[in-house]
Amino acid sequence: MGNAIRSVPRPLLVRCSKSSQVSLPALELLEGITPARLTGRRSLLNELDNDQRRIVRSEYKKWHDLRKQAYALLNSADTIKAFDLSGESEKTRAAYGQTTFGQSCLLGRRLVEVGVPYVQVNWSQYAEVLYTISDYGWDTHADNFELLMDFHGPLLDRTLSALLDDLEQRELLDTTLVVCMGEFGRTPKINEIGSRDHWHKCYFSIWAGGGVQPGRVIGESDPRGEFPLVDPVTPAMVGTTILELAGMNVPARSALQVLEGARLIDGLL
Amino acid sequence: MGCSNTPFAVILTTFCVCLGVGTVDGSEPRQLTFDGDLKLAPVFVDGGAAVVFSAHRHPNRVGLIRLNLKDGKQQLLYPSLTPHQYDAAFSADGRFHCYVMSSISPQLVLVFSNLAAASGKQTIHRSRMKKDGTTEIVDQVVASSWVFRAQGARSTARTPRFTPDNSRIVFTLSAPGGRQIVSVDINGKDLKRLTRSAGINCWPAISPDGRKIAFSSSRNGALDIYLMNIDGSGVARLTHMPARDIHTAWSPDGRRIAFTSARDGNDEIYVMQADGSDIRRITHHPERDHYPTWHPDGRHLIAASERDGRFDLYLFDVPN
Repeated sequence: MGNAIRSVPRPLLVRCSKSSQVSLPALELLEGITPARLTGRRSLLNELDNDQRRIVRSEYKKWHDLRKQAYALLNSADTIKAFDLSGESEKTRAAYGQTTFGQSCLLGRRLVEVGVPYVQVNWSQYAEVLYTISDYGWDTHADNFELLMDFHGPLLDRTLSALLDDLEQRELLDTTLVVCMGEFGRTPKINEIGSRDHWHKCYFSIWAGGGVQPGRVIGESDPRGEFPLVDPVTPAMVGTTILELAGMNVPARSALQVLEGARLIDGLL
Repeated sequence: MGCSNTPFAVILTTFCVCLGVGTVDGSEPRQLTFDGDLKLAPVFVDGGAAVVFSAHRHPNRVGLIRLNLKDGKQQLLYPSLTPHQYDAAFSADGRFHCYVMSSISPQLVLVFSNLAAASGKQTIHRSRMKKDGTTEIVDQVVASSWVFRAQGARSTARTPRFTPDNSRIVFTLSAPGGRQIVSVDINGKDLKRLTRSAGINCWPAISPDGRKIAFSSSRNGALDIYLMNIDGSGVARLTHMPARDIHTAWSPDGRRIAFTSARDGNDEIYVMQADGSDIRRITHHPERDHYPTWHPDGRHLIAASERDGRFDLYLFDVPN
């Protein structure tokens, strides 16, 4: 299980392929560096650091904690195991879908199990949906309707359902908040080539687990989906509510200096 | 930091922008594929002996796959082609082939192959061309291959269909006003716009006699099915549902049209008479069934169906 969020998370980029291959670019050892050699280097560095530590103790501590965390990640059997998706049954891997997003969400569940407090799964490393190398990003300026019906809808439906079912069966859903969202929506009025452009004035997100009340629709748009009709939910309210549910109180949130003045999404709680 | 000690985690999924099957008569459908990969837009080839469809199979790629119905073997049509490939179409005589391919810029282009021609060569095609209501025989020189690339960095072509006489290819194109149905001649020239409505006009299907096009349009709000003459005139609305009616397919005898509809809550296959009457539901399953295509015998159709989260092709009986 993960612990409560205590401070701003230090993100670690993880890449996950549809065939369940996981890589952590930041933690890959340089060519020729074995774990034993790494340990030797660490000992030498500790000796050199002893003097330095006396000089700039406060700033050094932050850096030292970060480095300690990195070594812990490199050497922790639990962490290494969490990144190895071969530990999952074929049935479970298939349930999430053999897509980059599907296997990434499965990895997310495994990271939650070993105590990672915050996991962000990004769909697509490419913005445009139609590039030759694209893995179907959501920037559907063209061909919106066919692509959403053919690819995005079915793939998201499968993966998100599998994730929520899996978390629930493992009794993790009550303590894991799942938020599915984009940073903006698409134009209610289709563009000149029959598709949809950027629209930030009204869009949706899906919330589950983690103490939110299920089975509710919060908010209401006008009939065209262009503008909120009543009581708009803002991005700052989304951030505030996530942190509130994660156990971070008002003073702690204020210290972040990014959510000032925002209130909770009452209807979710 | 003031935090509770309750174990807790957050999973945030983001959409990056900068980031028991049954038929009407109760008979069980026949499952044709078993890999569960996402599959779309199947078409019969070789007189019903094989099916070609799009599948999301290789790492981040959609490819065209040929399924031999006799032994169940599958084969990539273009194993060395890296761009996505969608919407395969074959002429009735099997001589010409067309599909949609992603391009280096965010485009979808139309790719044509003259299967009867040796590489780099051209062939003579004898076709019936209608002019002023009369029929005449015209010999056409057909190139071995061509690519139709519409103007505009984000232009897309989808769903090509050959006219029965192979004289033209009908497809949809991102065009001013939305998505429109257009046609080009067998060499990718002489672009003609067949629809001029607001909204999107998609999934054209040409009647076996070559005189009508059934298609889906959002011109009146929801996606409904319409019928028009092959030249775009005489548009008539066939369905009137708030839920989407899409993916039209003509029966081989031209009497019926199969389509996908969400009118009963999720995507299911329906069949209606060509005038829009006598709509009958063919599939009954809480998961999706879509992209119907008729077997040449007119008594069965294939759909791409989701079962237990897996996507495969199934063969369904169609009652008369």
